[in-house]
Amino acid sequence: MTETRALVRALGAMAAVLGALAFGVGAPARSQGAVRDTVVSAATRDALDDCDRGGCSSGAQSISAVQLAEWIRDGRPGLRVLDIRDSSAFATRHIPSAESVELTALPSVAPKPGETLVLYSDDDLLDLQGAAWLTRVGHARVHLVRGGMSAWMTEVIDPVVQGDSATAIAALSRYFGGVPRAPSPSDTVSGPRTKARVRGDFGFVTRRGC
Amino acid sequence: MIAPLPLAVADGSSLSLAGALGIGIAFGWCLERAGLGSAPKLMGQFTLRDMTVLKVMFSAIVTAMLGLFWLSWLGVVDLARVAVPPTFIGPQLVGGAVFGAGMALAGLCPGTSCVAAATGRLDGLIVVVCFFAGVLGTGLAIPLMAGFYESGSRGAVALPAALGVAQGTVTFVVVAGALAAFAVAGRIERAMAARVGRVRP
Repeated sequence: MTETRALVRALGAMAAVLGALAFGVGAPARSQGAVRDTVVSAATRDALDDCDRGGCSSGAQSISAVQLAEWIRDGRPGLRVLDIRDSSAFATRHIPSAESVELTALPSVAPKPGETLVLYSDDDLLDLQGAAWLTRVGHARVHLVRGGMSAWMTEVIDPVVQGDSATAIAALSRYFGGVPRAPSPSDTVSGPRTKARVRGDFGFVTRRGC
Repeated sequence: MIAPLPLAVADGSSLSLAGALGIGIAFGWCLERAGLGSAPKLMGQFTLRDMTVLKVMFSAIVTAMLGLFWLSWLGVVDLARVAVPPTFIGPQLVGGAVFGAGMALAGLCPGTSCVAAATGRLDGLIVVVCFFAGVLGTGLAIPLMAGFYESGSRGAVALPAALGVAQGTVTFVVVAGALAAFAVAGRIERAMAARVGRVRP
């Protein structure tokens, strides 16, 4: 009995010490960098990669910003575009026809027959969570925009056009008030533009909003 | 590899089910060892004569909370993959009240009733049958109360985000609250035992 009480006291003391240390540490990751490099790696990154390849684990499909632009321009029936960034970011610029919806309000977005939902933000994890909620409440067709608002700005509003699709992309960009341009020496990058680069480039196109 | 580890496998769900079964058996074993398969034991919580339920549940909460915090800090657990169910304030308040009333009436909750049934208690078996009937009835009634069922959505919010404080602060407050609750629970048990004229061993 005495041993049990001693064990209980020891466990209680250990919990108190760990709780106090948690108060001192604050966040359950050693730094913001650690969150990116360790906590949000592995399976979460796998899920993001699955989305990049077209099919998310939540059942949602990923599309490019150009694909969404074509859908909007062509008046795709049942298309509904949801912007889940904060309202100030939405007020600054957003994709035409998009509605601003708080992430926490997504579960209350009721499914409608024949509706196609397209979700975007500037945070891949936010997109995944939003898509998971929408599919959970019964939405059959949920799409995520790869690269979110940043991709819209760089691929539709300020695209570098070249190759066979140059004319079509340029026309699409002008439809949305964009300024397509030919590649310049500063645009030469090895391989395709990565998501990180697209997001990093966002600052220089802030002159244009939707 | 980083936890939580996936239970689902590409070639079928048998491993998922086996994993769930193993976890369920371990959970049930812990409940049984804590004495929570006994309705009188659970009713002791409502009459303040036996605070085992509070101690067991608060211990589980504190263990899980500290474990998740520090394993995440060590990079062993990916908190982004830990499911947080969405909050629906009104429906969950009503659901909690119904659950509490049912637990007080039956003397068992779903988990402990399964443990009681598995250990051969007839009351446990009856509660299991009744709660499955309740689940079925609720499922059939969902279309009639869909508006309320989906109302008051707040999304998957956790206390740190809702209160605007660091997760470590919430962890510390919960741990401190649990330790204080354990101390108070012990005093209450002793006071109640003295009141009914018997001393706990």
